[in-house]
Amino acid sequence: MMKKLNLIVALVAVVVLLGSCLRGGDPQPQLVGGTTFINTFIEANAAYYYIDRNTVSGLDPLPYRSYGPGIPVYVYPGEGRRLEIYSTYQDNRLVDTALTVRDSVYYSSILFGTHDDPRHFITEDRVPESAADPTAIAAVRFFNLANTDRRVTLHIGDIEPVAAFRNRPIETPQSGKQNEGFIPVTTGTYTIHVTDEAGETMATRQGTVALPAGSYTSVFLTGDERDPNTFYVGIVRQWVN
Amino acid sequence: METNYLPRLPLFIGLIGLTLFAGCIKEEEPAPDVRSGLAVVNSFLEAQAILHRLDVGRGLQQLNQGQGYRGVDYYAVPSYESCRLEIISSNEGAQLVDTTFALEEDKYYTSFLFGTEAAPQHFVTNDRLPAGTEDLKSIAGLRFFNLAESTHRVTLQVATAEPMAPFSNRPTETPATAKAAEEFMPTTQTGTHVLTIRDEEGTQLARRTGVALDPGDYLTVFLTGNGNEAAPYYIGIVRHRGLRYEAGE
Repeated sequence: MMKKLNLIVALVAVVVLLGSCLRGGDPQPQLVGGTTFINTFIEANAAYYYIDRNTVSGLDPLPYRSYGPGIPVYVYPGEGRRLEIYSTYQDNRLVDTALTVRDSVYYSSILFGTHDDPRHFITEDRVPESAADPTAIAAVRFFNLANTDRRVTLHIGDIEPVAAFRNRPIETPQSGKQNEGFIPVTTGTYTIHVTDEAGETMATRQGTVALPAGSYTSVFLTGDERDPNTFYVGIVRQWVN
Repeated sequence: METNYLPRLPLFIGLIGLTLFAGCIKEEEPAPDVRSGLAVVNSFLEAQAILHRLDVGRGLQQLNQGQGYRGVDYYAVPSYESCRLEIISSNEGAQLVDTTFALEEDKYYTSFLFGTEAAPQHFVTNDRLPAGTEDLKSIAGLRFFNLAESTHRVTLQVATAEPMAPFSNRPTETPATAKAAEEFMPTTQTGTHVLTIRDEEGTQLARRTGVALDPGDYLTVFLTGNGNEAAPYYIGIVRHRGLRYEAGE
């Protein structure tokens, strides 16, 4: 009798203890999407990012001329998510904006301008609709994020620059959004440089840039006219969907 | 053999019972320490740094390792009815301030030091939410002190709004005028602002961009400097986060 009771107790204990090892429910579909933050704000060493007043890990802070995090931050979908960006100089608030985040969309937050005129826009990073096979093409988009009055042109190797890469003044949030689409280019390895309207080279990307099939690349000019040595061609390989 | 099992079952149940119910036992809750908020602001441009020493009934103790000019620091210190604050200059350890004031529980205070070595000026504000305001969640609060070494009467303008009367034509403070202006002026003009300070002729003395003023924020804005190259006019900001917390409740 007592032996049986002990067995029961042991059984109950085993069920209780091992119960937590059971996997409940079906596997959830994987959430796809995220935001990449690109800092081209030259007037501060770095920028702090907050979403709904929470820091974003990997961006504390994000230095000038860099982007992150390595894997885009998955911001939970919703309307009116609050994005704040602060400069490391005197805690200037550069951006205080509401985001609308949808699932299965990759976004990029692009910060530029000056303390007097901080500028920011969010792009939706999508495969061009015309692309039959997204993994078979390479595509590029170009932004002028430099504090300059000059109109700049992006040269990818010897390819004749398309209209969207020519004579671009410094972006406004509107023009940035308008040019968020990626434009297919012939795959290959190129030298990349940016010229002004007089044809003078403002900045050349060091080395070569590979644009293999399936790559979606943002190219931008950053820097400030007050010191022409600061002009720099930035390249960010983007996640797209 | 059989008899050996008999006492084990009640023992087992007893052990489980003890473990499960142990969590229900009320222990003596640890009492939180009694604290006051003390912010210290250094607008004293004639020294490299100043040192705050505080006596809350345990003798004079250093608050920091020295605070540079334009510095703003925040401390939670034990409450004490006759707290003694001593401020020492890095120039030959000269004593600039020796004052006594009350630190009440859960109240916030800010110490401002300005003036010159010959005539150091100091005051301590009681930082509290504006009285008689119903909806604390939708407003922010501002106050302004002119701590500059100049004879100008200065006006603080927030964004492009008409300057508020208490922020207009302020001469350099005395402890008395500063204490009279210690209340936060409520404002519904929240957002990210550019602050400009002009003299009586409308000449801009200092400017600061990107100042975040959200509902529930309480800020002290102060002008410091003397306009020389070594100490240009500068707009300093103290964020009274403790008050913000109360406002959120």
